[in-house]
Amino acid sequence: MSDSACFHCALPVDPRDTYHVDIDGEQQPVCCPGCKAVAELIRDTGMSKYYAMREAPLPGVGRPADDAAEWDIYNSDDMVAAFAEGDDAEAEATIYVGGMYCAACSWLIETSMTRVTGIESADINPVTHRLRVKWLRDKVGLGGILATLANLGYDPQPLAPESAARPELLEQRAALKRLLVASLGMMQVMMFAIGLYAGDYQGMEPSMQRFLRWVSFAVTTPVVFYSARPFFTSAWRGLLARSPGMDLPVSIAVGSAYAGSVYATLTNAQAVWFDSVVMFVFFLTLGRFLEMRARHRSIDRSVALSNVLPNTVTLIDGDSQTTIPSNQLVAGNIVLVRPGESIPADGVMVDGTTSVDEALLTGEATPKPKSPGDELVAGSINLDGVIRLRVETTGADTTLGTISRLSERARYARPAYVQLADRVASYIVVAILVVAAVVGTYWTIAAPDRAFVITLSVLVVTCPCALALATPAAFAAAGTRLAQLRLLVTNGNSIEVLARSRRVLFDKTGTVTRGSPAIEHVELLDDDYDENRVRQIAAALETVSTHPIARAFALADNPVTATGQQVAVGLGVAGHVDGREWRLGRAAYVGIDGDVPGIYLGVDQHPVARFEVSDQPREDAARTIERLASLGLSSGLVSGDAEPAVRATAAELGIDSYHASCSPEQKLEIIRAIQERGESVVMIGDGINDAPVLAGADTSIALAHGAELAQTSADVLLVGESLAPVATAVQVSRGTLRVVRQNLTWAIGYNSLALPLAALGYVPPWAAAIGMSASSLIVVLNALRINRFGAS
Amino acid sequence: MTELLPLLSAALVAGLVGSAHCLGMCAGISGLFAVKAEAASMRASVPTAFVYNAGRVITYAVLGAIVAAFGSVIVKASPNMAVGIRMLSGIIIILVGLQVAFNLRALRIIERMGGKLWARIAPAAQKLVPVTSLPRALGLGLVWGWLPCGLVYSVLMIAATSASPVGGAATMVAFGIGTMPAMMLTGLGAARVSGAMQRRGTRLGLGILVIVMGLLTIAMPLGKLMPGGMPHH
Repeated sequence: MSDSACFHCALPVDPRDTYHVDIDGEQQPVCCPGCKAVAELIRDTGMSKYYAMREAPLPGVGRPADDAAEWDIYNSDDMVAAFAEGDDAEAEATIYVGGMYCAACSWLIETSMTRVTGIESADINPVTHRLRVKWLRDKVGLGGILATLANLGYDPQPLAPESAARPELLEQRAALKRLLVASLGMMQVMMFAIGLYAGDYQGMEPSMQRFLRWVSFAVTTPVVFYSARPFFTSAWRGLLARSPGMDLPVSIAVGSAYAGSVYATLTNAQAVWFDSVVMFVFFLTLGRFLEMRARHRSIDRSVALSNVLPNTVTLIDGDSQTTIPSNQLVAGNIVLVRPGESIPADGVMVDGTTSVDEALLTGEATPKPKSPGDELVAGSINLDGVIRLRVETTGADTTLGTISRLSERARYARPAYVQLADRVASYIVVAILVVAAVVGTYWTIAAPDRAFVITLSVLVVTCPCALALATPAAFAAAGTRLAQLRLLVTNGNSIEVLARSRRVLFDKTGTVTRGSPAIEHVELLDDDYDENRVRQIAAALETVSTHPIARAFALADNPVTATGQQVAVGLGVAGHVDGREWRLGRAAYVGIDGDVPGIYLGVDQHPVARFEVSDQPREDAARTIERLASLGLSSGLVSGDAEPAVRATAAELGIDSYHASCSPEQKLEIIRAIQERGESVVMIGDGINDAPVLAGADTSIALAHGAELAQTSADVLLVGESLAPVATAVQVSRGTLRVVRQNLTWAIGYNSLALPLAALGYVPPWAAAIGMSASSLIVVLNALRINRFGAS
Repeated sequence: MTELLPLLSAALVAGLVGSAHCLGMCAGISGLFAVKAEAASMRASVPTAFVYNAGRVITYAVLGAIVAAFGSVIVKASPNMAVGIRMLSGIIIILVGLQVAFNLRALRIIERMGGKLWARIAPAAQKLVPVTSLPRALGLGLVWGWLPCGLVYSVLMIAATSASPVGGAATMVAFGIGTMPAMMLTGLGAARVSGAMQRRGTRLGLGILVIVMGLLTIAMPLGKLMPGGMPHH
């Protein structure tokens, strides 16, 4: 920073009128007595390190601040093309600024940015930690800007334009502006209104009254035409679509109150309602803003997801290393990942040993050891070793990309409930307009001078905003809360089913068990083969199977290959080895009568070996089933595995009812049987092998990871290795329905109380505006409580 | 009551615009509170920030009441001064409006005098740091209100001309409320708010609004002197 900047607040210092403050033995210039006072206070309370801290790297930001060369690569045209929009002269980019911890940081960043020659504008959002910066390309490079940020002690990461220009953020920005205009307008107009009302009682010079009305008119106009504009456009769209929404009565109320007030101002008539107009618009805008925040909260998370990928990667081509933007990676590239860096794409580790932290994707905090041949997922952090990775999928196709996309989809899932509410709201709107017309007609005959005010009050007070917000706000909050629990809801109706169900069916392998089975014991049934040989044949057959059991058989270097393998769902897998047909699966599948436990290998309907495979239950499975029981849900186990194994698992987990040796068709029949008794069933499975079964349940939860995520069509996806969120989800869903009921009761109760009062002329417009707004705010705030449901 | 409106309005706008500067100057105060990066502690700090700001506004109100009490003594001493005081009030508001519109830094002399006063108060502030409890936050806010600040002094001059301690206090409370958005809404985009406030167009528009309030303040007593403007009750 230059000498002419205030040491404390960094504003320019007037050289003719400079103050000084002694910090750590140095005379520092400050701009005004105020800054001098604050700086001295900070010094005298032993907080001088604040000044050192704001310039030095913050703790936890592991990047050396002076490594300018590291940022040079961002000056290249490639990088500017990848991260910025604009032309040869001027470019604009969004930079994620890591390490921000308070509003003062945002101020510091903006101030120091505007000091860099060539930077045209810098605008930071302290909530999302995003800096929007515009610069002249011949004066400064992107690398220079990033280096400046790094020197301030922050951890900058430019964001690719598609992730930067998120429509939600633009929407939020516009809504915030509208809210600011409305609140500023409201504060001013309310003050004039108090004056006008006081004047009504104490008397006021007519000139003064006229003046206050004109000023109110001037301030209200932008509130109506800017802040309230979305209501008008939405009402108009609703009219064109012949399905009038709640914005129609709102628009009519705002429009007519404004028009009436303007007319009264021009003709010097008895009353104006500018205060009611601004208050109505302010509270409606505030309600919408809060509701939008609830909807967007999950975005912060998916934005955070996209921030974990590195922007540049070290590409290895033979002996040479080059740094390229990570969005230029393609499948087959080999990249170098150093300790502490995040994995840029899904792929296979080809060299090195390390452990990785996959907490972001699975919630599992324990580092996982990895060796060559293991799969690595984008977004996980390489902890110990220098490794090489062969890229398989990049960008949106990675596990991380899929999770982000599904979270996005989850937000737009509209439960039948909400659709119903929308349809009902349409009828209510028509009813309100009819009632308002009737009331208006009555009063025009009975007391013409009061007709306008009373009709206005009726329109405002009956605005079905609370009714229309009651359900969607609650479900939006529930979706966000469940996403925090790593449950991605893709079908909005699941919340209702989860809340009402009393039956949960679990699949066994990979669901209540870890899905990483191991061969415990091999029993040879034919002396022509040794253990090694049968393992190799089994492994060769299983290479095509996606069943979790297949993992138990996998061998790294298998000399045996099988051809023409086919999976018989629920039975096993068959294929040809050395010209003979081999089968691996349940006893019946290889020609043994009766349902005996174990997995059999057979050739030409003749058993050769028997494998005992075991799979440990998940750590929290028993606890989850216990919690479900305490919530009144009885759990059942349905499995394709043989009876003894299923019985053992059921006993271990405290499950009373189990069905073993089920084919997918039989599992489906079990579900149908329960449904025919009038109960709804929640089915929890692994999402791939159980797909048809999951589809048959009233709602389905799939435990999915990796590539499976994208193929799964379950109603709810559970990301991670823990079952516990299922029980919490039931609590959250029940809480959500409770909130919806409270909201609807409140909204209907309020409307049926307020309408008669307003129709009889007991409610002035300003009171109607407060009543309506309070009622919708209560509904939204009540819905926001869901964000805390199920917290331990 | 109604005569006060332009004063309150002007004070509110001055607070809104002025808080952009406050944010920079008061950057260090977040250092005086516990420095924590966690979002959770940000939420926990909301009550602290609110209490601290309330303390600040109370001090403003007390200052406003004091200067207005002095103002009213002068008015009472010579009732003929009433109209003159109103006009003076209007002129000061217009000056504040100009200050707001063009980001001027007038009143540096008074600021310096305030600096001397602050030197006596500062030891009290030091005792309250670090802020560990709500009463301490309130105490720090009460002290912080005395910080030498040109804008506070400008608005105090407006308050002085309100000619009643209640009016003076109300004017300063309106100013304090105006400074609240930037000081309180750290989570909702304080920088954006203050950034918008620093924009030339915004400053100009709001400055003109303040100047109109000043003109109104001058016009009102004149209106009383005119036949058409006589009270109608």
